Amino acid sequence: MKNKTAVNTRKKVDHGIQKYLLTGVAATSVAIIFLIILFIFIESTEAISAIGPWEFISGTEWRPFNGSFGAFPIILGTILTTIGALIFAVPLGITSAIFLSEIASERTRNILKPVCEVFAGIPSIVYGFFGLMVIVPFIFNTFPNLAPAGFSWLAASILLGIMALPTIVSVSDDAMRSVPKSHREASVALGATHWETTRKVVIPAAFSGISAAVMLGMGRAIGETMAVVMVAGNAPNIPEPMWNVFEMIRTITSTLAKEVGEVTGLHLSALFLLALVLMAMLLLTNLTANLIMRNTKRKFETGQGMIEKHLPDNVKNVINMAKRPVMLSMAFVVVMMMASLFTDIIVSTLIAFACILFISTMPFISKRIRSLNRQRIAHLAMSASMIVVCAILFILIADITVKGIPALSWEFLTDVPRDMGRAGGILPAIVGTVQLIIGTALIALPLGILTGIYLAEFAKDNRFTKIVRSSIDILNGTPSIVFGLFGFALFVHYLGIGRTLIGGCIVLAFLILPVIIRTTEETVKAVPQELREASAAMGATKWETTAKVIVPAAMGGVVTGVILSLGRAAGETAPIMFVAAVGIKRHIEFSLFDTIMALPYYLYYLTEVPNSEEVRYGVALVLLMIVLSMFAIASMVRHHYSKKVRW
Amino acid sequence: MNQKTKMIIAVALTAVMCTGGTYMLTSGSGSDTTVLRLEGSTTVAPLMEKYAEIYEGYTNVRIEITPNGSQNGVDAANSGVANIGLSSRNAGHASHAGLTEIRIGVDTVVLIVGSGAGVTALTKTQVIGIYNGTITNWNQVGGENRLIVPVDRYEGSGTRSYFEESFASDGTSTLNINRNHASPAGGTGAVIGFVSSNPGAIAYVSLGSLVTSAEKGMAVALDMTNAGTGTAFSPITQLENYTLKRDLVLLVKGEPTGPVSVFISWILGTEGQKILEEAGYLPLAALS
Repeated sequence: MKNKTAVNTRKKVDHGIQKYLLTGVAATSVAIIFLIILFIFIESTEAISAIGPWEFISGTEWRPFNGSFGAFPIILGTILTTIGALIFAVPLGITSAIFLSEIASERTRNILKPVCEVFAGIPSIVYGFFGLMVIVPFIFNTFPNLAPAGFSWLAASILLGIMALPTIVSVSDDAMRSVPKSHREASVALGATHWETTRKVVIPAAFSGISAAVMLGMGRAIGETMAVVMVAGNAPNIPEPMWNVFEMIRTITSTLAKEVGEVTGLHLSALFLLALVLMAMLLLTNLTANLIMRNTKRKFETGQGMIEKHLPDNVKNVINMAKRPVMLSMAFVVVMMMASLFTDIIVSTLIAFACILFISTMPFISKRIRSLNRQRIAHLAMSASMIVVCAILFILIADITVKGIPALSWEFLTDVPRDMGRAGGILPAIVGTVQLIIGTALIALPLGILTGIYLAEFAKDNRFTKIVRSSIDILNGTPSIVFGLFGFALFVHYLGIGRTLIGGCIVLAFLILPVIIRTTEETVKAVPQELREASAAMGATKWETTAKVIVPAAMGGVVTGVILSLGRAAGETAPIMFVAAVGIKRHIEFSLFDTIMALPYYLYYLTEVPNSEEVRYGVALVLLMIVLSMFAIASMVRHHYSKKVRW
Repeated sequence: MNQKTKMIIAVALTAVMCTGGTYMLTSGSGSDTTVLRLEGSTTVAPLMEKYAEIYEGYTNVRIEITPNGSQNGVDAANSGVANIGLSSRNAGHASHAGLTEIRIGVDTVVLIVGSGAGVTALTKTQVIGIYNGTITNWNQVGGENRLIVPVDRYEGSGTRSYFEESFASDGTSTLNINRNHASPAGGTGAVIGFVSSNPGAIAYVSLGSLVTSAEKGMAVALDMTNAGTGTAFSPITQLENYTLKRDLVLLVKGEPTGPVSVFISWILGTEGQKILEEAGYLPLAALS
């Protein structure tokens, strides 16, 4: 009897220690986000006091070498490219998602859904490279007089739109799939066609999820760096007229990517201030997104949104009546603005009128079409947009594969770079990337998995947990270039150790930490409650249950998530470009404190080297293959476990 | 042992074998290697890459180059992060104070134009007009009827500030690079690639970065007298008289010693200077 009590006490003590340990680990996410904000703020103080925050934001001239730090054109550039990307990606993405969720057969869906995930995982440097080699020349050849350089707002927005597509499609699809079947059945029972059900029931019900998808895509577009810097032209000016999509544009992220590594003093400080502005913009986006989602959810549940509730009825009526004319006149202005880029003002006004006429007669026309035919047309349109999305992605893969294969050879994979990168091989870059992956895994896995387990099994619903969760959310929404800036401030500026492998691993580990935490938490939570109860019934402590029952059961999901996030780390350029990577190394080194060559940065570096097109494509292909094979492994693991683990 | 453990072991083994294999493949040489760290000017860095490739064939010295701009080169040489700082500012520049300057050659900044420009020489006034935005078509400077697409470099570029300074130095004219000029990501190489594919483009680059004869053919002669009455010197054939020249400088803290000094004297020697000349820069001998 006495003995048993002793055992129990020991178990309790163990549990206590382990819990404190887990709590400590979970607190690191908070520490990381705190450190990032702290370092960026400290580095930007010089600019805040020397330039002044208002002068910085409102100044229209960015000429740091002449002492003028007006960031307005750059901030505007970020907003404009994002708007452009959304105009491109939202209609295409949502219609494709409708196809995927409502029209496609289960088999088609099972093929297309993973394809979407893979495309979300292609490194942004590869997208940027594709934009540089394909989209920019295309725009230059199509509009030689309007965009004589090819580099343009248009190119950046198209590319960002393409990159946001997989996110928008995938998340909207999930939202629509989660609309209960009963809703659909009720609608069909009332005599609605499939399309009418989709339009009037599924989409409104999934609206909050769809807006989340759009916001996620928007966040990605604002924070994207490498793709934009390669195609936008980067002239820090305000387009003239403001809607001239053919002019060159510069974003916050591309300014950071181009200038941080090469400047010092006030200029560097101003760049950190720019990063602070970027983070503030993202925070604002996320807050708005939350508000919109809460509002739409409420609207769907109670029939009226938060603002509407407080409005008197007559105001509501006015709003309802004004909705249509306002929308129409907005469409009119937009069409006229775009048309005026091509022709004179009279012709563009006429074109705009024609468009408005067409749009406003649409409802009358569509009423005359039989509802089944209407469904046919709609389904055709949805399928067409899915085909467009697939075609874009296919062209990307095909271009890189076809042009990359000639570069591949045994020598290319096993030699060091020669002739400044035009010849020789890429072995140091491959090894460097592998080193980065391993190092990142060693740091991120323990932290991420333990935090995930803590959140799923031990976290109480208290303030600490809330802080941890919102830190993880902020970390997840932080653009990769900000991680790079943080690493630069910490390792290069503050510690003075220069570019190192260890610095790169730490920064990348911080970058993927939120993803690992989330997948771990989700999979652990998905383990059925019965397992926990059964284990507890056999006398196991909470800790023993977690370690011996829950974690093994959740292993498949965790491993999949880990491999996917490491795949992301392997392709990241922005975080390592100031912290770890150098262009060319002719030796393989295994020291943590040495610089490294890495595939994504080498691809960026090679765009500096004239006559290196073949090697560039080779590097892009190898990088693509590494990332895609990690995806393949992840899906194999998932498949393996989903067959093995059943409950 | 269950499936999962087996799989983890298999993955780990593959990783170890891969790294081990590559290590054995490449680390043939002895262990007593010295690493020289070079940091700084993006103009000097490509030349240093070329040097490093050849020099490492002779010795156990490993040379690591981080191209991050002249100012960082100065800072890194001062702080000791780099053994040698690279600078494309002229010798005697105020920022070099306290460091030993070793001039190794001279770089020329040339103007290159696209295939459809139809000009072979430009005057100072014309260049200023093009970059200020008052001249927008090649037919205004005696070329074809085609829009001019001026290419700019990003703000951190040493070439950019040199270019701007050399057109504004006498105080009578200012080059104020106008809005909406492309500055492609990736620096020099991207700029050259852009100009060779865009018939109306104009850009300024370092002569040493033009490699093929087709690329060299894009360079135009330049007359730097204010009135445009002087001789337009070609950067390819009349390099000695060409005006836009600047020094390539190595910066060392204190006097160079040991492997640093051996490396520098090799650069200043016959072979080093020959490599420099072949790369398109002006060797020291040509200056006297």
